[in-house]
Amino acid sequence: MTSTINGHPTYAADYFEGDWNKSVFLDNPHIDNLMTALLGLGGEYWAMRRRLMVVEKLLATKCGIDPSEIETYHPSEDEQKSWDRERDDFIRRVFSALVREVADVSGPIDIEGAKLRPPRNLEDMS
Amino acid sequence: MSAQAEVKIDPVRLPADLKARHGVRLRTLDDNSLLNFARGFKLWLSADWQTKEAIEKRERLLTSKGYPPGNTNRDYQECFEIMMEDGTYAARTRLQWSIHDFMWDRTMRAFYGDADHYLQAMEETDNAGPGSLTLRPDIAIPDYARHEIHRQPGGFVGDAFAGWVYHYALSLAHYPGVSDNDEIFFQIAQSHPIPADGKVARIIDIGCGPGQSTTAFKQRFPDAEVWGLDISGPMVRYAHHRAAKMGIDVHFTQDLAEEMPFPDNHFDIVNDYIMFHESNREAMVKAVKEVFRVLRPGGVFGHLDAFTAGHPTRQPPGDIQGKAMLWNIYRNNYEPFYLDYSELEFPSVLAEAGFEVNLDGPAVLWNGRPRTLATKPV
Repeated sequence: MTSTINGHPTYAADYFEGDWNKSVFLDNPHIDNLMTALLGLGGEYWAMRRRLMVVEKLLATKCGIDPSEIETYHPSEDEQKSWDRERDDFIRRVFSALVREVADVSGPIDIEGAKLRPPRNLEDMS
Repeated sequence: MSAQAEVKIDPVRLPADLKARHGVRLRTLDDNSLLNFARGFKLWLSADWQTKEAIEKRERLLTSKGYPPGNTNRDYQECFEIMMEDGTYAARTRLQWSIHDFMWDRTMRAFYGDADHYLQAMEETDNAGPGSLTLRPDIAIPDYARHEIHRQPGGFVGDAFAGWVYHYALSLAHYPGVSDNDEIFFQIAQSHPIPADGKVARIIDIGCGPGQSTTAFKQRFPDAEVWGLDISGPMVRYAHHRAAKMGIDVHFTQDLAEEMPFPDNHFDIVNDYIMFHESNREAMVKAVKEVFRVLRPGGVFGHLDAFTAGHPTRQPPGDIQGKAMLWNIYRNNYEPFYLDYSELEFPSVLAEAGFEVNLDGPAVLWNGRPRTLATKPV
C-alpha cells in the first residue's frame, strides 16, 4: 500500500534520513546559520527584483500607469491578511536557518544508525 | 543486419523546437526567480574555484604549512580537515552547501505548494501512452537505495515529487547550460556507439531517474524499443509522465538494475549515467553481471560515472586537495557509497563479468569524462 498526499497515491517509500543538514563548517554554528539565512534573503531579493522588472515593464508599456500611483497604494483588509501570510511564509523560508538543529557529523556517514522514516508529506514543508 | 533508422541531433546547437519541448519552467515567476538566483550563485561560487591559479594558490598555502605536494597516505577526512583550516575554503564550503540546500528546498516548495496539481497530472498519465509505466509498490527496496542522496530531502525513493524536483532543480539551477534542455542527455545518446552489426532494436537505460537519457535514446533510434529502469517509484512515475506529455514512446519500470525483469541476451544497448556510485559495492558488482546477462552478444554497455580506481585517466586524486574534494562530495553532498565506487577497480569488475572493455569511449563535452564502453563478446 502506497502513502498518500491529499488522497493521491505517492508511490514513495520509507527512506533513511541523512544527517547532512546538521553540519557545521565554520567556527560557530550560528555563523553557518547566518550565512544560510543571508543566501535565502538574497534569493528573495532577486525574486522581487525580477518581479518588479516585469511589472514595471508591463505597467509602462501596456497600461500607461504613472509610477507615483504605486507609492500611494493602500491594500484592502483582505489584501492585508494575504500579505501578512506571505510575510510569515517569507520569514520561515529565510530565517528558519537561524534555529537549525546541529550536531557533530564530521566523521564517516553512519549508515547503520540512519533513521528510517515514512515518505515525505505536506507537513514536512511547513 | 541493416542499421536502424537514426536521427542526428546536435546537442550543442539544439533546434528551437527541441529547446521548447525539453526546457522546463516552474509555474510561478517567483519560483523561477528563486531557482535563477541559485543558478547565478552557483556559477559565481564555482567560477574561479578549480582554475589552475586557484589550485596552485591552495597548494602554496599547504606547502607553507608544511604539507608537501603530491600524493598522501592521509585519509580523506583528515585531508578535508586540513583544507578547512583555511577560512576561505571553509566559507566557500559553507556557501556551497547552503546554496545547494536552498536549491532543493525552493524547488520542493514549488511542487508541494501545488501538490494536487502535480499529483493529479501524474495520475492522468499513469495508464496513458505513448509508452508504458510499471510501478511495483510492493517491491523490496534494498536499504542502500533508501538513503537520501545529494542532500535532496527524501532522497530518490521517499518523496512523491522526487523526479520533478531532481529534474527541475538540476535543469534550472545546478547544471547551467548542461541540462537546461537535456543537452548532456542528447549527447550521451547521440554519441553512444552502435554495435558492430548495426542492429539496435532494444535499449535499456538503467538508473534512469527522470528519464532524460531514456527519451534521448528513443529520439535517436525512433524504431527501437526503449526502456528506462529505476528502483524509485516516484522517479519512473515522473519519467513516464514527462515522456508521455512529450509524445515519446518509451517504457519505464520500477526495478533493480541487479535483478532486471528481462530475458538473457535481450538488449542491444545498455546505458548507465552516474548510477553506480549511488549503489553499495555488492549491488555494483551484481548489477554489472546483470547487465552482461541481459545484453546480447555484440551489444554495447555505455557507462559514465565518477572517478574510479584502475582507470587510466579517471583515477581518484591522491593529494590533499583532491582527497579533500572526494570527502566533501561523499560526506557533504551526502553520497554514502561515493568512496566505495572510487576505490573499486570498476574496469576489472567489467572484465571479470566477461566484457571486452574500452576505457576511452566518447567523452561528454561538458565535463570531458571519457565513456567506458563494455562489449559482450560474440
